[in-house]
Amino acid sequence: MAKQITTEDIKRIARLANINLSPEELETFTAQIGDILAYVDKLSQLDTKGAVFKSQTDLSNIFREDIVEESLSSDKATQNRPKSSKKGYIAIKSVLNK
Amino acid sequence: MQTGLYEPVIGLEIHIQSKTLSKMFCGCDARYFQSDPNTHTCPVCLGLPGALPVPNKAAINYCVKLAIALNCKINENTKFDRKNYFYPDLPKGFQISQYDSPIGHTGNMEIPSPSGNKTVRITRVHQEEDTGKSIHENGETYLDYNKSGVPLIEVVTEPDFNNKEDVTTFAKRLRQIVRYLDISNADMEKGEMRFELNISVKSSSTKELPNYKVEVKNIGSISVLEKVIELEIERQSEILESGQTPIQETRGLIDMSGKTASQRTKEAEAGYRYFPEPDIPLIELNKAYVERIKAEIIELPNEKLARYINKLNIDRDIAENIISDPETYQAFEQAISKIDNTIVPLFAKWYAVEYFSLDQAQKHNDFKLEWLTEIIKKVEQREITRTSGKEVLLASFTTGVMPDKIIEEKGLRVISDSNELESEAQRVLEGNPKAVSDYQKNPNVLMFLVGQVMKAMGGKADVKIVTEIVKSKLKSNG
Repeated sequence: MAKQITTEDIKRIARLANINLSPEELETFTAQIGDILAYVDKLSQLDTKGAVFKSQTDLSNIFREDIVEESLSSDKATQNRPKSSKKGYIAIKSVLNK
Repeated sequence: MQTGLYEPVIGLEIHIQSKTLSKMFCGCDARYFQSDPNTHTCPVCLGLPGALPVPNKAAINYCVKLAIALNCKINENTKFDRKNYFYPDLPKGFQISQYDSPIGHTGNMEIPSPSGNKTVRITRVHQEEDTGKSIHENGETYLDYNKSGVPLIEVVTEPDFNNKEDVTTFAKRLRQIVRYLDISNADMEKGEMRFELNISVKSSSTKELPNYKVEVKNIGSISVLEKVIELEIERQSEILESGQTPIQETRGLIDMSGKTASQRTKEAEAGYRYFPEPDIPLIELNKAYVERIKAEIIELPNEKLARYINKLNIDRDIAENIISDPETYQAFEQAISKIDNTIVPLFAKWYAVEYFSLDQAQKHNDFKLEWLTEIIKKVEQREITRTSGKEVLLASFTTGVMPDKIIEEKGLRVISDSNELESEAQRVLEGNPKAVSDYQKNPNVLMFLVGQVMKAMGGKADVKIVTEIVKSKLKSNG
């Protein structure tokens, strides 16, 4: 049985994902994520001894040659950005804590 | 400080940008230096929904090559993983990196050190992608994603360093290796090689590793790296001295003086939540492939150094200078391929000392390094003096005129005609009767008189012959 999910776990996950949760949401998600994990935990009943790590596909070694292709124009790449006072850049609220 | 009571325990993480043409997982041009912001991007490196990354084959080859050069074991089955963290320069919300099956692991590199060669263990060599660039000004953060997705190789060492000199030697050697392998320019001014330092300090008398470590991120040059080490040793020793333990933390550079400040970082929670990258199939590096890459590896700095010292009889310091980068050793090896082995040590000396001191910006297109051989031979055969030799080299170098011609034009040929020297010596002795009579009491007079003759000959006489002549004249006078 997996460990019980607590509100502290959900707080931490929210912090790592940079999401703000209200106290109500915190309660809702703690219960919901706890339920989901308990359900998924059924998988741990499987005997996986001797199982080999499998990827999502049978393909392997899919590469591209080192060839330069055309990039997006600066206008196109930044068309959905917030307005920026510095030409060509994408501007966001300062990430430095003052 | 360096009281001898404490010594540092240092491990390094080095990031090296590969010199591929295109990015790691898309076809955007990876050569972004000084390009306008956000002109080298596409849905893949901007992390737009639905875009699919496809690994660059050349980048994988480069990473495997470096791993082999660092004597690593190669993981036959490798893969990419997602390293999740939140920062605006990482538009996907995760970095594609490698977690539990890096391309290379368990390697080592030998470095020379005053107490003999040392072995630094390499923990791992893995492939990842670079992040975008953020500029913080005007109370805002500006983002440029040209660097986002540029192939980045990470090399991690074990905490095998206990002084800053070895760290510097290692960093320089690693830079040489990637340049020899031609997989990166490792130009630190362009951010192509960057360091992360793990450093703690322990009492010299204990073998045990400290129970804390301080991480300093984003160090962009070897000189700053050295300064950070010095300051950290001092800072941590003082804390230990006061009976406390330094806290485990990540510190960031404040400026180029090497000063750091604690970064209250959320990443320290180690919440990277690695998991296998589902968009990139597994990678198999079979033995035949690894052998093929191995065969492409040329003679590396350590082997070259050993060969120069042992086979070519070049002094260690001189050899180190010549092997320092591919351009200098390639020019050297091309030049010595045409000359006699016996003159190679001398050629190396002139090349590393006199030639390196010339301002390369003044080099004339017609100048050929082989000419240096002519100059050296003439100096050795006493046709010109050593000082004249340097003068000829400089003139040839800047004008592209052959040494022989310069020697003629400037009249630098040494006068070894003994009649001419004899008569000059006679004149000097007659002009300095006091010195001549002092000779019995004061043998230093000899050098004075020789100097006078050399001066009279405009420095273009063979000083040995002149000395002999003056000596015999003094004896016969006495």
